[in-house]
Amino acid sequence: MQKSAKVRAGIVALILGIAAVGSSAVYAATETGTAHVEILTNLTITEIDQMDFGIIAMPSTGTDSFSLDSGGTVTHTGTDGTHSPGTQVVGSYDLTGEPGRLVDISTTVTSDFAAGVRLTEITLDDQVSNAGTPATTTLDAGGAASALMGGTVEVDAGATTGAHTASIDIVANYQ
Amino acid sequence: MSAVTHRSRIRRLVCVGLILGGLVACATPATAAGPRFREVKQLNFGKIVRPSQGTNTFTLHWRNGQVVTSGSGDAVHLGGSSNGHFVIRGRPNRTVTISATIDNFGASGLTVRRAHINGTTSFHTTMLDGNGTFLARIGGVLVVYTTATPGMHQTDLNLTLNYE
Repeated sequence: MQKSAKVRAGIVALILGIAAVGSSAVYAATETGTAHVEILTNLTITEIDQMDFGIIAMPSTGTDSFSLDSGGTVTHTGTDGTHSPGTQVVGSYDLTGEPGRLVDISTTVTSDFAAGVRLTEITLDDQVSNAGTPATTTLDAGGAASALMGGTVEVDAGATTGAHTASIDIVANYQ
Repeated sequence: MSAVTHRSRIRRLVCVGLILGGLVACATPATAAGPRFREVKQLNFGKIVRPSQGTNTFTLHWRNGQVVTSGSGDAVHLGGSSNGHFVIRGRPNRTVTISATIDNFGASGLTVRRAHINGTTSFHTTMLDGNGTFLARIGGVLVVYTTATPGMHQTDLNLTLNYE
């Protein structure tokens, strides 16, 4: 083979080599993105004082209502039923969770007082909480809040006498 | 200098040039013609109230960005989740394999189980379309323990693409 032919052969071989390298190379790329998550402290709710409407004398006819507010005042509407002053207790609940967060609190009566004695309304800080729309409160900088429970009880003439207890489910959720 | 010797030197120079060019081509295949990514939506597991007892697993769906909660704990997912989107550009009609990983968040009580890419596995093989593009959608699985550190956390989501 002459010198020029050798050079040509070398060039061809080199080009083929480059082409072969190019066609068999594994092309790869990497990229870094970002993933996020926000973790909130779980909410706790603790009963401190049980709500108590106190001593109520049923009306002789019809139905009377007795409403307990967060200040401990009982308001009577109706006929001749009566409430004994000073026997009532405002319920209180402590919450802990993520500082500064708004919290919804909803309530449900799971078992009522007795025949003729009905817990019709439950309030937390004087916000109705058992009618589909929750009451709200805000956790302070330390992640704490408290809520005062009141409500309304309806008492019929002929209601079952005695001490009665109702059960209430309380659910707190972050907004 | 004779004409023959001069031509010979030129040929040698051409050979040397081609060899050097070949070496450069061999040394830089991935960056010279490699695919490119662009993150167009960041992955977010959303807001999670850590469990007070037990453990919960949160699966972020790669397609719709919704989170499904499972496990023995009482954790609550409060929304705010989104899947991750990456646009990939490369050679049209080429078959590629893309793999995804999510690093751990670096906070106690949080463990990233796996990443999902266009399915429920951590890798996906597909063909780039006629324009050389593909939309990679990323989900994943996160386990949250009672000890999870409150706060906003972020970590790296890593994609690797290979094609021949």
